[in-house]
Amino acid sequence: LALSMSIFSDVPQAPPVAVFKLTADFREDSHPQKVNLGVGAYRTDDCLPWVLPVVKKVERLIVEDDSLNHEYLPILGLPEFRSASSKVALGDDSAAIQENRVGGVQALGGTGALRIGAEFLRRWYNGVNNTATPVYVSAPTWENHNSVFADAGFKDIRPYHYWDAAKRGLDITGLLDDLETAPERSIFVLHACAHNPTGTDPNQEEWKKIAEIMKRRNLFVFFDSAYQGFASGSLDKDAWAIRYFVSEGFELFVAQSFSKNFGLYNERVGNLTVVAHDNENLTRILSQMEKIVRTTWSNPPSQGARIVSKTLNCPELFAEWKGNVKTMADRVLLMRDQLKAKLQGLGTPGTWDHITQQIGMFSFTGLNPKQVEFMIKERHVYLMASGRINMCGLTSKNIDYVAQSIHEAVTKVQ
Amino acid sequence: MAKVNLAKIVNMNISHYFIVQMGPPDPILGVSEAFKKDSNPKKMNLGVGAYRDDQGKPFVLSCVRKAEAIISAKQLDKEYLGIGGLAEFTKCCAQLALGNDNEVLKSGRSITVQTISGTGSLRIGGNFLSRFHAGPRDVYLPKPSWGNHTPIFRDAGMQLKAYRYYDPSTCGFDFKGALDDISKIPEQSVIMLHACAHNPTGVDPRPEQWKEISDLVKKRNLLVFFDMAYQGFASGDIDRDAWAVRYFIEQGHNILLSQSFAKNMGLYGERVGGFTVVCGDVDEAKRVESQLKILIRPIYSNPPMNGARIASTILSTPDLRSLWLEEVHGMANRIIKMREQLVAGLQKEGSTHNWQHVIDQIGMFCFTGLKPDQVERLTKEFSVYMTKDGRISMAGVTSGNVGYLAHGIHAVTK
Repeated sequence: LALSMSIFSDVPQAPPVAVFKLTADFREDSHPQKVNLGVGAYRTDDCLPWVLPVVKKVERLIVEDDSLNHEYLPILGLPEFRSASSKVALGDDSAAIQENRVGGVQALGGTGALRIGAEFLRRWYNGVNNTATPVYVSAPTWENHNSVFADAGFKDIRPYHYWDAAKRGLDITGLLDDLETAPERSIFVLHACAHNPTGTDPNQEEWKKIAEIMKRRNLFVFFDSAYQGFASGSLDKDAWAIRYFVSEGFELFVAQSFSKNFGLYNERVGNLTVVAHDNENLTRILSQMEKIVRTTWSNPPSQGARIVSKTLNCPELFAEWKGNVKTMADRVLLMRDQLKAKLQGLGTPGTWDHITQQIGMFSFTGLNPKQVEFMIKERHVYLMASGRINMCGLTSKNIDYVAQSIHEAVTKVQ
Repeated sequence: MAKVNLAKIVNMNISHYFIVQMGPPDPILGVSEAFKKDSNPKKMNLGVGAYRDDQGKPFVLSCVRKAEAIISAKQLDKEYLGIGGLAEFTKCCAQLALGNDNEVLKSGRSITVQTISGTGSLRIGGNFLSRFHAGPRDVYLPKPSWGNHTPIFRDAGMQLKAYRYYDPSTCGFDFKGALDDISKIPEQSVIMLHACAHNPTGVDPRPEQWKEISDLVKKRNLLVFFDMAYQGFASGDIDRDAWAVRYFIEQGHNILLSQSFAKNMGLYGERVGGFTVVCGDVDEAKRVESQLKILIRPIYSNPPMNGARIASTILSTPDLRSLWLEEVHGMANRIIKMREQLVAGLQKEGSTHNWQHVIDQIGMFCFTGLKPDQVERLTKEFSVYMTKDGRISMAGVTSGNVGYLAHGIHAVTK
């Protein structure tokens, strides 16, 4: 009964997003020893999702509070959430905050913060609606970075050297070289800590060198901060790079996610922190951010922001949260230690120091695509084609099986 | 004012990053801002369309509170939803709009994704059209339409045109003008229709008029995009309010549909909505779904859980659903009563104008017919806040202030 030839008859089937396809395949697998080292979500040692105790506590408070309603938040989000979030990133003693030149845009997760920031930059940075400004993302990077900036309108998205496969570490020479040769005013997406997917971060000296070149060459700093607290267990330590750049006088953006460090994945809690030159600029910037938000989602969801805001703004809850974050970070560190020890114990060829040198949720194992295929097909251990594993998927119960699987992959498959 | 580090300022690049103009205040949300600053105890906010009870307070539906308690007891995890959202929700969402027995749902030839309320839904729709619609770039809006429609579609990459809709001489539907304009719309253009409770006028076509519009739209081979933000809220009856949507589908139109649960469930800040594409067959629906995911992922990755969970619990739990229908009916009835009382009040004041349109119009909004200078007087002299086009949100009217409102309107129109 449908009308003439459908208008969408030519719409092609899009490939599934890789990381979700991996989880889908894992779910369908009936092998008793299967392990999912794909999606970046925290798991307990029983391989279960973990709702943070402080989150449970705060949620109960919210449900029981009859004075709360479901009215619209302001376009830029819950004010207490925005200010507390920026403070977490920049520090309690942040001069920039005291100077009133820091603002936040509550967004839907880190993705939403990146997208709003990218839309703003495309419209107002380096001219008006300049889609030609180069955007540099690390090689490799979170695969969605490319799409976020491309869909925001940028036409020239380029890789900067980052991962050195041969030495299994940071290609700092290549990185610094790219900074020196990038067109002035280019945008650089920097991972604040716990680089996704490699788990490899610049050290402080390297960050200083990066900052020096970026300042000299007028490059724009866009931090992606999805793992603050999760990487080392310390909020301040994980924010060192951001705070250093701010203290060096950069105007910059920080896309913050509370998905991992609060375990609030599906509530979509994020914040775009804007560090501006001064309050007057900040005001104008935020007014334009409002226009972008208004045509994207009008105003952000309230539940997750309420949970985070209540927690960050109450000293006892804040302390409890930091404890919960350390619990997660510590379990990951333990799994790193144990995986490395087991691979060394098995005599698996190669060096495995990178497992404990890398930081955060992910590890770039160094397994090649064929070895990854072996892991999935023969051993039912699911990981990304890049060789990235989510350390949170490891438990005391499956770590021997995974270590043995890696051992076989490396020895049997070239 | 905080001390500023002059050395840092001198060394810092003056903000040449962002040559940013101040964005103009949002015309609708700007009204609320002005209202907040007014100290007149008799002030009335008739700007934003958020429902208020007869005490002028936000109304949290009982079915929502009950659903929240049920959800809280389940102690669910917070794992990421799929890109398309909560499956139980999208199923209920589509059924609510189309009717449980709709052939389209049975055949599986439609796809519904969870969106960030109505705005998010329209934006995804706009993005989808921009990328895949082979026809003209133009979206035809009724004149007038919701203020945010234009920037949403523009930012999505579409162009905006209009068809006649509101007749200021009758404060009613310009049926002849609409048909005349629609008959001239180039084939395969997109036409936006408000399913019920037209925003901002409150003027809806009658069923016989919808039938003629459907025939003409079919003849012109136009792609229909329904915006349904007020299902249940208009007449108090969810099936009656969805009549036009269901009729068009029956008539063979493969429609696009945006739904919002902000108003009819009072879930404003939770951002609950859906976007549906009715396709030619199951295969096309799958292809369209895959492309919607590709569009959604670089905006916010996946949608927020809380509101969708509440909505689907209500819709799928029989006694909660009945309670909801009662409460929606109650909200719609209060509004209808306020319309009647406003007209009675105007007559009591001695107004000689014809105010029948206040009763004939439907839904949250009323296009009073007031001119901009009259609106300005109403705001300045009586602290009654509304948008310049003469639109008032009936939801902001109570039995306590309807007399005052009648007095003010009479004063500026006599």
